Amino acid sequence: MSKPKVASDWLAGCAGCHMSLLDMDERIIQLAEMVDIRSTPITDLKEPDEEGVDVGVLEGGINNTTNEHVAKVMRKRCKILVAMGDCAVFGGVPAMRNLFTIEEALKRAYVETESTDSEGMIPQDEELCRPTKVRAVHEVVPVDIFLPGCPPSADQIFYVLSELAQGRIPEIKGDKLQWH
Amino acid sequence: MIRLQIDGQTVEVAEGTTVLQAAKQAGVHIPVLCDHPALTSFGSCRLCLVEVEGARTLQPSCTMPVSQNMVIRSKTPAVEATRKFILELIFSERNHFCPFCQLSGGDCELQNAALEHGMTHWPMQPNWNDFPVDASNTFLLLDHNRCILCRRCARACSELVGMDTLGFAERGSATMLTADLGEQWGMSTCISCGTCEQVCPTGAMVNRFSAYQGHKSQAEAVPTVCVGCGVGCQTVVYVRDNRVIRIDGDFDAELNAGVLCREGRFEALLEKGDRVSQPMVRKDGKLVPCSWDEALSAAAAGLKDQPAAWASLRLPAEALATMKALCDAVNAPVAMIEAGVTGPIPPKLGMKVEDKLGSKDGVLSTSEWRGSFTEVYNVHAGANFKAAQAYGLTKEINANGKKSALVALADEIPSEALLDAVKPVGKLVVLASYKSMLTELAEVVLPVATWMEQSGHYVSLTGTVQEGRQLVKPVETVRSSEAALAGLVEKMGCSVKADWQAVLA
Ligand code: SF4
Ligand code: SF4
Ligand code: SF4
Ligand code: SF4
Repeated sequence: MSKPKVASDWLAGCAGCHMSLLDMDERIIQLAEMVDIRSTPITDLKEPDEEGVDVGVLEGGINNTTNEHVAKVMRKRCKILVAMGDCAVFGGVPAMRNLFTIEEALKRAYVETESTDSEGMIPQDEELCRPTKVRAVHEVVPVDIFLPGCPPSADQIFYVLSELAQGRIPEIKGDKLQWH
Repeated sequence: MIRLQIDGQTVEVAEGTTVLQAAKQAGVHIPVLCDHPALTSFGSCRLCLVEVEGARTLQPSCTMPVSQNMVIRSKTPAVEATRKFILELIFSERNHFCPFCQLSGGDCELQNAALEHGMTHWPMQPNWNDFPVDASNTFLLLDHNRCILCRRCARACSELVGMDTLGFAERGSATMLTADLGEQWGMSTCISCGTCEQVCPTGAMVNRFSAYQGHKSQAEAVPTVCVGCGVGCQTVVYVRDNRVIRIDGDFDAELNAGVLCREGRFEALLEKGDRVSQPMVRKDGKLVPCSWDEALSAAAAGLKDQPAAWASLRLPAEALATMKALCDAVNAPVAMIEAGVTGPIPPKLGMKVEDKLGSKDGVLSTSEWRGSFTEVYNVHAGANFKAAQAYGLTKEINANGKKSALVALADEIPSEALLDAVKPVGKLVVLASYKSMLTELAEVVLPVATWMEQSGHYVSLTGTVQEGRQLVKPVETVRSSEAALAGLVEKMGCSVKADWQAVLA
């Protein structure tokens, strides 16, 4: 039997969850022996295989039309979707901006920040994605496994991926469950 | 006695016990959010729902009294599912994004309940309503975004403190916690005793003095006693990495039962200025650092000449007894350093002290407070006033003709009155934790511990002898006042034996 394929991507997050994944140190070799690591934001292949993967992992909430697209592609191409980290699970820190309108948030980011010069303007190019309200991944596509934590620890991530690699559904509870 | 069954166990409890209390006695854990052992049960959060055989619906165990032959089930799938649903509703109500909450990671009862129930996510996302943050109180922050309307705070303010500052406006999902019918918290009748914050299960109320210093759940909890005034409240102090991170009232304390005042909970944590970290003697008009031995020799020499003495009432009985014995040996009168007024003290606490004393006894007074209908108390006696009295220290001494002075100031800031009394006397030896106007005048300064760096006993106004524990270690050159005084006794060559307990018994 071939090794299960795993793909990951990051959306509106800080990359901290992927850093935490790397923080599993030498266990990453063990993991690489158990699974076939396909596309990730930190390796060359950027999109999950069209023929599909077994496990898809998403970090970050969904805050624009590109994120929506990436989440939908991942959902379509994976059998089991893992929402990794508080942003993917709840919306997390980026979701703070939901307390303002998108216009207010853009104005603050592109026009009002202290470092903006007099030419500050909100990018309007049609090629660009459209910002949306920040949502948890499960508000956009169905999620199978929720792994909260800001970030989840390397131990938690290793546990989840190695269980999935061995064909088991991980149980996120006890010391495997934290929200901070 | 009432006999009932909880999760298959038979228990016998007194009539009037609630199902929740009975479960606790049986060792059965039922989760709660709005209930608190020191407050009347209220039944608002519904997390403690249980199955009662014969009842149509699940019942809140915190408000339901036991009845004969009741059969309770606290862990059925229906109960578990309902509890989870209740938590989901609470999380959907306001803003509980934990990564940017002060309490996240062990200290939040709401988060702990969610983790205990295996909640990995919220099936219903929050409403995205923005709630205000009231930052007007000097000691406390109120973030309505984290408030779950459990009303523990308001019950504590009314039942334990007696101020009735907090209440609730509007109804249903529009309900808001308010101070004095909508006043800013800092402008309200609140006396900043912090009792509400201590019982708040979430990050809605934040103690500004302990915020972001570390979690209670990861700190060492040390039971000790407040030295802010003669009431002698029992506290639980949280210590981490040789630092006091927060002071709570001890709910098991007979007198203060969880309640503290502003001084005891917050101001005790303030640094009162630059520390005196080394012994110093005056040479050519300037104070210069020296060894303890040199400083003690200089102090002993200075005090040979008709001394008078003053002692802080924040000193433990051990130090006061040594001070008195030393002064007796060299024929020096000793005065108490007047403690000043401590207050506002929570009315319910003040009333208890007055009840025990039988009167205000010259040490308590009441006053109005910001237009509140309730009078607050003030205390006019230092922490060890009773011990000092027993040892024969007097409120005033006649220092006329005295030529040297020993002032055990410890961690106090000297009052004008003390400075005026000491100035004419001359050669001055000061035991102090902080630099002050008094250390400026001194010939010899001995660096001594603050309240949290030493251990020793205190006699409260109501006569209880209580132990104050050392919470943190000072730098090596700082000694406890008791040790500094013992060193002085030795240098002066007087043979004194101070027994702090003998006189108190
Ligand atoms: S109050 Fe508790 S549940 Fe709410 S954000 Fe803070 S830690 Fe999380
Ligand atoms: S600090 Fe004390 S007086 Fe102020 S609202 Fe809280 S319990 Fe009431
Ligand atoms: S402030 Fe805290 S104690 Fe008061 S109602 Fe809100 S959550 Fe409960
Ligand atoms: S009443 Fe006195 S002993 Fe109690 S907390 Fe306040 S200062 Fe400390």
